[in-house]
Amino acid sequence: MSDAEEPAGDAPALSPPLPLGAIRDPTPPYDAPSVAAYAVGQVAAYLRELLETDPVVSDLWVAGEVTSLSRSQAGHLYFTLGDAQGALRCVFFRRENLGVAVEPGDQVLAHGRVSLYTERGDLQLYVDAVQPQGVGVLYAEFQRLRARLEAEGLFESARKRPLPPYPRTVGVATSPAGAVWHDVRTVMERRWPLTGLLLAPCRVQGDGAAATIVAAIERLNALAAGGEPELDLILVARGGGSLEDLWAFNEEVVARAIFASALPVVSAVGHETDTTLADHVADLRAPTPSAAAELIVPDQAEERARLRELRSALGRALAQRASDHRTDLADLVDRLERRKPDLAAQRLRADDLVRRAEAALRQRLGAGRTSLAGMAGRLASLDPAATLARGYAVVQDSGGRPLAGAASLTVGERVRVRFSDGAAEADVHSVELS
Amino acid sequence: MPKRKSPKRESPDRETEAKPDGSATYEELLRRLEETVERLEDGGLSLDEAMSAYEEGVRLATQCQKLMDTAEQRIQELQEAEEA
Repeated sequence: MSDAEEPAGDAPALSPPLPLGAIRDPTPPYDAPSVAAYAVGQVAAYLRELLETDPVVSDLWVAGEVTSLSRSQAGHLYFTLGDAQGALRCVFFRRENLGVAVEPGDQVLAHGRVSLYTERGDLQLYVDAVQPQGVGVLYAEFQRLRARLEAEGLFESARKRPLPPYPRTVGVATSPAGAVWHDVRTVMERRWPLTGLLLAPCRVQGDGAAATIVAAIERLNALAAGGEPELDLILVARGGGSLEDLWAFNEEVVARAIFASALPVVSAVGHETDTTLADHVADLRAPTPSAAAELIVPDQAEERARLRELRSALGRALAQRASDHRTDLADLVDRLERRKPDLAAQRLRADDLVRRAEAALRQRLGAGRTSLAGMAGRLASLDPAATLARGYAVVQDSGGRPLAGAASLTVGERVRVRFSDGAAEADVHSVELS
Repeated sequence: MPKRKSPKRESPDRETEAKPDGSATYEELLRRLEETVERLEDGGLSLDEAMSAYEEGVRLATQCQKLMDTAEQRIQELQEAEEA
């Protein structure tokens, strides 16, 4: 068997069988009956198509014992899966078998599709997952799907969305009959009655349940985009049960519907210890439906405490502002006080100025007095009376004008001679000029 | 997918349409309350502004409390989807 024999992608469309005439010798030597024959390739392609479109063998788990195990250089595994009644050739390609240990004699569950390797006419199981038989087929399927969806990135924590802190309406995808719906309503009403609930009923167990869960998720998303704009979140919930009971939440369609949901999804399936694929894909996984209700909405008591705290914060802040303003005011008054003109100092300065002015004035007056005395002395020395007092006399004409010399005298003229102590009339007898 | 919304309510007295009057949600009121507290705490307000902020904050807190006091859980149920 060649390493290159990976399955061809899509099987060719099944063509009608060729009439025998088309493939037989075009110039037959005999008159052939009209029986059709098929080319081998046609038959092989037809069988491959038949197998690959069969709902059972195109996707199945097969239980058996591993024998005739070989590993090619390229890393592909070839083995036979057998039991007492039969055997099936298996090929487990390298890209699928990474990290899987298969040993001859192992009792395994192998998942894959049965197809025909047309070139060789070999019917084989193209294996994509192997689990030990002991785990049970459901668990094996769970592991297989989980590995696949994880590899596809459906569980990436980076894509998990934050939940709205105060969802206006929560869509609940669950069974209307179970205790879950009752518990969710009760817990949410006690904690936060402001959030509305919109039940999207679905079956949470049994055949076809997965399709109803998918439909519920899709309906809620459609409503959020249309008539229920307050729908902020989806809760997918189911009570506890066995792996079989919870199986719907491990189906790929449900995981993909949660992945595709535009609304954030909280999942609460089973008990704390059960983790379904729905839980892995959801934006938030709650251990139980009641716990989910607690995670989704705030607690009324906590919110009331918070409001009380905000109220007292308001009071404190206002008191602080008032105190700030009082301090500012006191500061302003203080600054005003400091800027107030100092009247006492001004008064002192004024007094000083007045004193200095007076002193200056006094000094000026003193100086004036001294010079006045000098001038009086000098004036006194010019005073004719003083001259007269020293014994001189003044001769005046009849009009009282002083006669400064003998030349101004006329003989016979009456003159007046003034002394310091009196005057006398005199007649001029003669004039002698010197 | 049939999208038949059938508002089959739990009980008529619980029926409260989602704020048809467009009034603020608790979340919105709480956000405004927190902003008011911050504004008042940051200072820089005149005494008049501080008084108004305080009164606004008290009013918002009262509204928040009233929403909780008067809230009645709204329950709606969609009809069972038809089997595909």
